[in-house]
Amino acid sequence: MTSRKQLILALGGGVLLAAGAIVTWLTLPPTTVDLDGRYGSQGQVRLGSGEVLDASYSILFTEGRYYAMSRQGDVIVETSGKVETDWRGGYRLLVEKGDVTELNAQLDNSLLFNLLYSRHPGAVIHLKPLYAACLYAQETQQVYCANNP
Amino acid sequence: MNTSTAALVPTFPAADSSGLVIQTGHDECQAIFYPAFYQLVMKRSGQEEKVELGYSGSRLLERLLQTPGTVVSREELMEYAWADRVVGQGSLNQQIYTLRQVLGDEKKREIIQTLPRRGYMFNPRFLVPVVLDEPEPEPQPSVSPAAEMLPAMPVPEVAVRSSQPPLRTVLVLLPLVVVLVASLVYQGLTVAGVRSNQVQSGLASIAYIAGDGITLPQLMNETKELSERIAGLAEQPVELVLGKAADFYQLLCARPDGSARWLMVQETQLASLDEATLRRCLP
Repeated sequence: MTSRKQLILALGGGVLLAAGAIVTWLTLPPTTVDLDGRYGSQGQVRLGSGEVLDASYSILFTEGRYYAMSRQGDVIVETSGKVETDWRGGYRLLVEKGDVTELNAQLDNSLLFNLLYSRHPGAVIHLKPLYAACLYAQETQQVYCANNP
Repeated sequence: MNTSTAALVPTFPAADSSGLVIQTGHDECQAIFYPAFYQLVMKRSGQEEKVELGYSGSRLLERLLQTPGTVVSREELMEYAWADRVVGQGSLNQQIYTLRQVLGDEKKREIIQTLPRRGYMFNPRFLVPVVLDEPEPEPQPSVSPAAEMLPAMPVPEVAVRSSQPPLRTVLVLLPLVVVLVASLVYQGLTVAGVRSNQVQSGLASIAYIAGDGITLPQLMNETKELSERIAGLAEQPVELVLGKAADFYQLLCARPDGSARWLMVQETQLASLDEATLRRCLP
């Protein structure tokens, strides 16, 4: 009987500890951001129609914030917001503000979606180290490399 | 810069540098280096994160850690990290930058120090000495042959205890372990893509990144022709990263100066890519 009581107590304690760990993990404050300076990249997009567009992405990280400009053909999107780190060594961009300067291009829907997502307040973009001094924005499929690695 | 600090620090584990503990520049974060797996395990606030260094990055760190406090020339590092290939100085710069970034050293450059015109040096102050205050235990007959083949890694405390942990401890820890494993698997599946090893094709070294509904074999199969074409066009060694997201293939062409150009191709257009477009991506 005593051992059953101990078993129930131990299980209860374990569940409580696990719940505590989950709550702590979910509510951990973001750690400080060490990203700083200008990043960017240039490239080309071949659309479904066969048209090839020049594209460029620029982003400035300073004091825990970011300011970005994406250009694909005629479409220019500016966004800004906060930068946070995640515990796996990546970063999160929290979009606060975004504007589309031009929207008369014949971009493919998935590309337009990416651009419009990136300017939507409240959107979160995960940045992951990709290669050397380059970061990859997962949700928007954009590459940023340090201008002076 | 002082390069004689090696004499001031305790002796560190043997030349293969397996499982060396490095104090990183991140807050309260230590990294354990496992050269056999080309990995660093970052330990912060009781949480662990594996960082894949890749073959070259791992070899580079391994060589620097073989002689902490001693300058290693750029030539020797390149020969050690890219033994079977001829690469430019840019590749070394990029790998050093990546290592510094992983170790939280990209700003201060204290852990991996640059000695102008001489090479690089691992600062031994950032190695965490292993305290050995007990004699080595006798080998136990129950150790499996597979375990003996593993590289010398730090042995967790629980592994050297011979007595069985009490049932209560197991029951208390089990939910925590389950939660931790589940969260790691969840994070791994939802955020990180699966990255292949570097595949050499002519002068191009290609890494494939799967994810977002495509597996590595699928990706490699679908981009086989593209890989061969771009490798055939490369006139100098180049490192490429190939992936796919939504209905677009993505090709990143790394440049020796650390910058990169890229190409996104809608999936129906892959076979129609012309040579000029591919050449614009290459350095």
